[in-house]
Amino acid sequence: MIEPRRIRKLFEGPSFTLQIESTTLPNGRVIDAEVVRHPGSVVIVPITPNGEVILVRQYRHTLGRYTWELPAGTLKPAEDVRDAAVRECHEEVGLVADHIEHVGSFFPAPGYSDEQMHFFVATRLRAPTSADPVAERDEDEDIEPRPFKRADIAAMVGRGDIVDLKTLGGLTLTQTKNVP
Amino acid sequence: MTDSRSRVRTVFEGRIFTVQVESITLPNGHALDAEIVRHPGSVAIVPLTAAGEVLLVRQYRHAAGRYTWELPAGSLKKGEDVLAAARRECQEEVGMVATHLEPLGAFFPTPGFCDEKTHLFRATGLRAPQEGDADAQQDEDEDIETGLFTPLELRAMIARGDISDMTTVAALSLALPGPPPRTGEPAS
Repeated sequence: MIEPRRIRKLFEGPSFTLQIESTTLPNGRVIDAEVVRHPGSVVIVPITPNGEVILVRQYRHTLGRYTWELPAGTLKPAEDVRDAAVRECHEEVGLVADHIEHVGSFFPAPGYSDEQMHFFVATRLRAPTSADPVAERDEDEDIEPRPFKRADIAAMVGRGDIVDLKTLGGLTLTQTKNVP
Repeated sequence: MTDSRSRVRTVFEGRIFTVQVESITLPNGHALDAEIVRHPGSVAIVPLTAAGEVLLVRQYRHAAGRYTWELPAGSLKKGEDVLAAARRECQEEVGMVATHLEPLGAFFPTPGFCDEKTHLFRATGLRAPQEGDADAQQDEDEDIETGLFTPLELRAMIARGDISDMTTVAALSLALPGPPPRTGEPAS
């Protein structure tokens, strides 16, 4: 990691911060990089006992359309990624994962953003009990979960009905993890 | 679009993207200020040699704070056709002209806050540039090294964490025949 020589913060919102970072690259060039600083996120591949994958449908304002995606969400300040994965699975799918496994961490847009997506497989899914923390959905989320066979998801990708790249990435990373 | 967009405020206009704060009402009636990165879109190419190997590029990514091995990729220029952009980026970043470019679909890497759409292509029939081809120029801040990898090597790199670019992981599953990249197992 090369420390920038100068940072100008241009915008700070609830989801991300935008900065111009004046940096000397390894090749000696000095650039003013436009960088989106993001807290990072978790992506969950919830797999049911019969090997189906649960996707969620929601309205994406940025795209102006509804999408089917793997459940996912942004890390809260200082939150452990594993805790975040369990929380998001509970909030978006309505089920508690008794087993969660990290399968890799990737940058979706390394050209301009430091967001890192941490991918988890969630299995041994069960209904929440009074012993579990209460799951609260974000106010702007109106989410519908549904289990799909992997072959049906592949067909949805082929038809252009799935347009979310992390969903394709998460399914690729967990192709061999059908058995909980 | 099913939302009503009452107000759009542009808070940043940069070389690559624009940031807007949009006051909107969602289909469920909830009103909020949405911060959105508006991006021109991009292409990512899987350059496949006759021997079935894939060309990747290694470069320093300041935002990610590290060197990365990735598929050649880049933003669309103003008014540029996606196929032309794929041909251009392939030549600029790996120095080869793609005789065939096959679309593999278009996907959004971060639909939560950004409208960037990445168009994926498989490039085959790779050849050295010759007279008559457009001149390819790397961007000034790009210092790019290329490497040739077999599908088996790519799977091992993903499993070891040596490939940290999500687009590369996702596109390889569409472009390569045979079993997809696996993780959580020792590299074979």
